[in-house]
Formats: sequence, structure tokens, C-alpha cells
Amino acid sequence: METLLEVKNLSVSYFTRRGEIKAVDGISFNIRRGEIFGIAGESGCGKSTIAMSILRLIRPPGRIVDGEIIFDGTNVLQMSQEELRNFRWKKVSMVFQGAMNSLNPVHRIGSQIAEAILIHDDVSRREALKRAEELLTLVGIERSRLKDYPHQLSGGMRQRAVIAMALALNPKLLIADEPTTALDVVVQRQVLDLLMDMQRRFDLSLIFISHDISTMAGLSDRIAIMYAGRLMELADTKELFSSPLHAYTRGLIKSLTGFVHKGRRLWSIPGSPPDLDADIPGCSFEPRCQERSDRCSSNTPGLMEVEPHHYVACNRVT
Amino acid sequence: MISARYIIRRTANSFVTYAAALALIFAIPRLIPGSPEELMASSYRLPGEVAAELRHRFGLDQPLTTQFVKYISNVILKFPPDFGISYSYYPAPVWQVVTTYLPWTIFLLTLSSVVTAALGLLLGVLSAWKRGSIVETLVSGVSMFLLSTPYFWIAMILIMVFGVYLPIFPVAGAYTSTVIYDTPFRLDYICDVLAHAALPVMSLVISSFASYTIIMRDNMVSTLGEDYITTAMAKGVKTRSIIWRHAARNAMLPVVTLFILRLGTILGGAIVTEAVFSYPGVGSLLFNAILNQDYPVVQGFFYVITVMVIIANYFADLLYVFMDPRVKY
Repeated sequence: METLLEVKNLSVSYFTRRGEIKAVDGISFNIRRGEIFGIAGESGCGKSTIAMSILRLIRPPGRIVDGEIIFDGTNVLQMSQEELRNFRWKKVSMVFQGAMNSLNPVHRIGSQIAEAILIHDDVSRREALKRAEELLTLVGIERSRLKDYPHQLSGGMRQRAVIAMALALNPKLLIADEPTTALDVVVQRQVLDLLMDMQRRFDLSLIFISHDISTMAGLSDRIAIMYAGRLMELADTKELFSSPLHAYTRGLIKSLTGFVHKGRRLWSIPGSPPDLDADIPGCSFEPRCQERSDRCSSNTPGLMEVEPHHYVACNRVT
Repeated sequence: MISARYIIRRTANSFVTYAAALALIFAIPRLIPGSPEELMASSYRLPGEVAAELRHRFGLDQPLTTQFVKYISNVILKFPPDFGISYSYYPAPVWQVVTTYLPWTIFLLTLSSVVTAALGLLLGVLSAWKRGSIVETLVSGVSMFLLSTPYFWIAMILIMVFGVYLPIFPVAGAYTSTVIYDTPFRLDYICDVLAHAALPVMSLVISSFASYTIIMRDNMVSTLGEDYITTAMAKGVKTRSIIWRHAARNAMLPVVTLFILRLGTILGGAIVTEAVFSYPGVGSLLFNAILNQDYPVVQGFFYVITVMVIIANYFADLLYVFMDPRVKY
């Protein structure tokens, strides 16, 4: 399949008083046209930072220190402000983490969707509002809600409105950063179904970011597992679940609960992720790894293709 | 949305405030040590019979309760409210005295409030957007300094700088009294009035814009961290539009409240400022009225000011509903 987005050796750091925090440390991956690409990992592992980097939304004290982000042949990191503004939302749009907070509370839903259209397309305000209305209908919100303010909508409806806004310009890539975390379980399901439906209908590429790999398993074509700013494993979903190669991936899969018998303790990976403000000499997962060997604390494993389309960064495997 | 119940409650609330203010306005001038006729008798060396006659004529020989009842009925039941005759502008009625001076104060206050709010908001927005830069450090530092500086000190410094060392602006009065104009709607008259207003307005602005700047900066900084700002950036919204339409619009809401709450404080500042610049507004009037123990004028002044502040607060509360769609009454 054809490549739509290429992320090469991306490094993003936050420069704080405590020093440089390497939130994303030399990550590379490709997104193909029309695929659903999952990025999974614990909170703070750099998933959202990657998402923000693709649209160049990293704000000080954060900075993209190295790498390339190539979308359809153009390096996003070298775009001028003008090119960047045309690129944002038109080519790549985003559904943000906080369903509750990504709409401006003092502007009407309709005008926020219309705003996105008016920035990029040369249409009248009336035309833009009409399109906003159609988009709302598309995601299952009544037309009459066009003039509502965000606080008048339920959480699920708000996230639907955000999805409608993300689809406003027919982007090629949609990044959904934990699109359902703030919602209750039933609504989560509906929002995910809607996202998948839209993905199929518009032949979107979708980057789906979540800490919940069980949800991701049912949706994504491929999954990337991140840990402490680095990519640990990347494979087709089926492959990843049937033969995980990295100890961290195995730990994540093992910690999935499913139906647990009463009285049985839930399993979790011992320890916690490292502080990112210090240099990690070897594998970042080494301190928590059950299968570590001596060289793990000194040698940083690179991401290697060990089987066709199955990449892993682990000293034991490579 | 506003419910009728809220409007009724809010209106009733205003009337309670009004009633309390009426009582205080009667009491406060009478709490000043000494009495008007004693003051007149001693300064003009009047014989005792004349002082007694003055007492009688001003109704000050009647018991306080009688004076109070008379005061209340004259103020509430008559329009324009009747505060009696001024002692020091005898025989002009108080209402006439106050309304002669009032337009100048309203002019001064409107001009300085608008400039203050605009400048304060602008600097607050700017320093929040340029967070961490030298601009922010400078704006915050200067704001903190000015916030702790009294009105009259700034007024005196301004007189020194722009009146004495660099005589650009006139330092006293509201217009050049030696020139007589046939109509006030002349360009040279308007320029003259503005030049006279420059220093009083500057001293009011300089001493009060900082509170807006600091509050606006804080609100702006937290608003800029909101997710919807990131969304707007991702949408490709232009920087200027992000600052004003998306961030400042929201951060401004609490500042509106501050604007109204500060009306009273600014009025207080205006009294001192007008006195320093001999500006013919109600501030100067009050200043002289207190010195002369001119009870009726003091009452008339406080009455007009109180009613203005009550009305401003009333409408600000109602206006807020239209500014923030989340507010429901």
C-alpha cells in the first residue's frame, strides 16, 4: 500500500528548569493510505507529543529537535507559516483528548465548524454554516443543535461535533488522540463506531492513539507500542497479539483483564516508567523487564524488522 | 438565559442597597466633627443671634428624626430630588450645583475608564502571549509598581513633568477660561478641553490600568493553555484571531466584573485627582463641600454617585448573561 505519512527519526524535547525532557526519542514509522494505525502506551510515553508534532503544534518549552515528517512528499517541518496554515486541518485534522474542552465554550457549535471551513475554502459564511449543518447530520446530531453552545451538549454529542469538525475539509489523515477517554463506556462505543464508519466512508487514514490496547485490537490494522518516548514494537494487529516479541508488549497483553474469576488478582507489570529528564543509556524498559540480560543496561536496541512487517526493539530478539 | 424571577430578585436587591445608601448619606456628613453654623460663625465672626438664625433657616435646629423624615420625603418623592439649598453656594439649590459640575466628571471618568480598560487589556494580552520574554517581565514589573502607587503622587509627578519641565499640557481647570466661545461645538474648543483633560486622565489611567493588566494576563495565560486553543491552532486559525477571538474573548469575562466593581474606586480617585488639577467636576465640589461642612451638597453628591454605581452594577449583572453563554440566572 502507498505511504501517506512518513515519520523519520522524530525527536521532541521539553526544555524545563530541570533540564531537557526527551518526550519522543528518535521514532520512525509510516502511515499508509486508508489504514488505521494504532499507537499504544502508558500515559506520558509520548503518544500525544507525536500527534501534536505531525501538525507542528508543539509549543514552548517543547521543541522538535530532530527528524522529518513527510506528508505526501512534503516535509511538514520545513513548511512556511502560510503553507503550514493551509496544511493544518485541510490535509490532517485531529480529534483531541479532552472531549469536554476542545470546543470553545463561548462560540456556537455551528460557527466553530464553519470557522474551519471559512479559513480554508473560499465560501460565504452562509454556505459554511450550511455545510456545518450537513456535517452535524452526518455524525448523528440534529440540525437544530447548530446554534447550541458546547455546554448545552452531552459529552458524547460534543465529541461527535468535534468529529464533524474534523471531517469538515475532507482531510486525508485524521489523528484521534484518546478520543473516548473522557466518555462513559456506552458512549465510548458509539463514538468509536462513528469514527470507524467515517474512516471507511471517506477512505481516511486514521491514527488512533490510546492507552487501551484491548479497544485498539478490534479497530487497528497495525499497532505501534511505545514506551518512555521510544518505539518498542510495531506489527500487524493480528501478528502483534498472536506472537508478541517484546517483553513490554507481552506484559501489556497479559495485563488485559477480560473476564477474571472472582478472587484472582489482576496482573500488572511491576515498577513504573523512568523519568525522562535523565539520559537512559540502555533499553528504557530494562529496569522493569523480566527477561533482561547484562547488555540491556548499556546497549540501546534499535527498531529492527525481524519478520516481514514486524519490527521490534529488543536486545534478546536482535 | 435570564429568568423573570432573577430580574425581580436583582431589582429588589438594588432597591435594598439604595435604601441603605439613603440612610448612610444622611448620617455621614453629620458625623463630621463640628457643625456648619459654628464654622460660619467662627470664620465670619458672626454674632450668636445670626448663627441661631442660620441654624433655623437651614432646619438644623429641628430634631434629627424630623430632619431625616424631611430629607427622605424630599429625595424620594420629588423629581429632581430636593436636597435643599447649598450653604456655601447660597441660594442655589443643591441639585443645580451638582448638575453644573457633574458633566465634567462624567466626561473625565468615561474617557479615563475607556482608556484604562483598553490599555490594561491590551498590555495583559500582550504580556500573556509573549510569556517568558522581556516584554512580559517589563509589563509585569511596571504594572506591579504602578499598582502600589497612589493617584495623587502620580498626579503631582505629571504636573512636574508635563506642566513644569516640559510645559505641554495645562495643569489646571477644564478649559481656558479667558477665551469665550459662542458655541461649544468648535474644534479649537474641543482641543482645548482635551488638552486640559490630558493630565487628569493620564494620572487616572496610569494609576489604575495595572489592575486590568495583571488580571487579564493571568486569565489569558490559563486560557491559552486550554484545549480549545490547541484545536483552533490545529484548524489553521490565524494567530491574531486565536489571540482575540478565541483567547481574549474568554479571558475578558472576569475583567468586565472588575470594570464595574472598580467604578467606585475610580470615583474616589477622581475626587483627589480633580482636587489636584482644580478640575471643575463633582470631585472638586465635594472636596470644598466637606471643608465647608455643606451638608446638602455632600448629600447630593453621594446620592448621585451611589445611584450611578447601583445602576451600573445592575446592568453589568444582566449584561454578563449575554457575554458568557454558560451563565444562567
